Amino acid sequence: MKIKYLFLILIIIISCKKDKNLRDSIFIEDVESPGLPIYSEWGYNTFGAYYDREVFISNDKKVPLKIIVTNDTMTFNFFGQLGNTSYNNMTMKFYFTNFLPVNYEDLLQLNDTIINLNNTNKISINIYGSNVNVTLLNGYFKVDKAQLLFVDTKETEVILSGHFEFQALINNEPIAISDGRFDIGVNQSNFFSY
Amino acid sequence: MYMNGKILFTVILCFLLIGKSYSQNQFDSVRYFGIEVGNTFLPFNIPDYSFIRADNSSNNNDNSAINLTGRYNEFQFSIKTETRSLKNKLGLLYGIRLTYITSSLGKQDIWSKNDKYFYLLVNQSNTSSEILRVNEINQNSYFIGIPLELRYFTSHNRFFRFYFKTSVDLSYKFFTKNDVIFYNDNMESYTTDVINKFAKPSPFHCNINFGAGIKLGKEGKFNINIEAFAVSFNIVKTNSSIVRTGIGGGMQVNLLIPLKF
Repeated sequence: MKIKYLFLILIIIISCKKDKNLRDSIFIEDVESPGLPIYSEWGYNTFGAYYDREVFISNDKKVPLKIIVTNDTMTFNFFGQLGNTSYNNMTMKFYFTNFLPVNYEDLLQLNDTIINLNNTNKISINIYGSNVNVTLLNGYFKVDKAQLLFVDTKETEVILSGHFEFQALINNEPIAISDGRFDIGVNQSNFFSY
Repeated sequence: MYMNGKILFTVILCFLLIGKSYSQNQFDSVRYFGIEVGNTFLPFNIPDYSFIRADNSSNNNDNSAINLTGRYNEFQFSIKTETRSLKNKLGLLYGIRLTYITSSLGKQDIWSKNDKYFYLLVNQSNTSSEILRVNEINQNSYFIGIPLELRYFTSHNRFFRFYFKTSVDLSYKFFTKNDVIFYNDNMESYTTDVINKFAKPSPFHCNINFGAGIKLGKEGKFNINIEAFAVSFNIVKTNSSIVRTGIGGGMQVNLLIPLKF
């Protein structure tokens, strides 16, 4: 009987796992925005933006996005690299307080949602392991499409695709984050609520 | 398409003019009748399908990101007759031809069992998308039509004769079978939905060839002809709805026996 339950739990765990091919990052360079991935709505697990003239992009080494919901805040944690070297780690976190999903399926409510960014919002940036001082000036974060993905009729993940841009004082220097785009699959592997 | 139509019209016009130039005086008393088998090798490319998910990072947003393989083959079987003119140096052949075109799209590796798949978007709404894991899509079509061929022998009657040949084949599709191999066998009920993502193959097949061959056999006796086409192309590019063909070559072998009258 115990073995039966163990087998059943094993099957459930395996069936909840994301298809390995869907976990991979598919980086297709945008010829109109060199260095950045194309905007897509396939769940290619990529993001990118210009950090002034450098690129802040996802890579194959880190999970590109983790969504963390704690207390009264939902955080979008983008993990990637600054420039074309994967050793130059960079993290950008967007903090949102007016939407608190319980599970990853609740993220569907973000479909076609634009959040205007101003000095009441919070963004934190970590470059090469060091936190930098960020004072947000203006910008937006938009989820163009939030869709539930079924693979072979089985619910697999929510794909969030959108754009972002903002201007900020970073260590008292005005910096523009422009042409930002993301296309990420979210499920139990990168959605946390605690 | 307009240029291909002009070429086809020109070739057919040439055939008609040459056919009309045959007079009773020039008409040989020996007509040949025979069977033919052939294979056409055409290069192909895979169109950019927006409903197939990429699985490969790429520097360009093109098909290199999708990484699919394809296959295309044409086989012909014909029953033909030949009449000769110009002192047995010009031959006009026509008859009836059955053409079989097979094509496929997928992750197929001919050397091993295929366990790789690609993702195909089958349904999409405002807040959901449904994709299926597909191993392979196959399409087999049968055409029946009329081949028209003209060949010119470079030498007079002898056992071994070299000739140049041009031909046009006009056919109509009478049967198509599509097949989808899913990674998950339980998805077979979606076969029609997958097939409907692709355009229907054209009902017409028109192939033009330019080549040469050798005839073996005495005049008025049993002949074997072996031909190779240096240039072969389809006027209609959509005989297969899953790959697009280019210009290639082909081979034919036919056996002709004389019918004296």
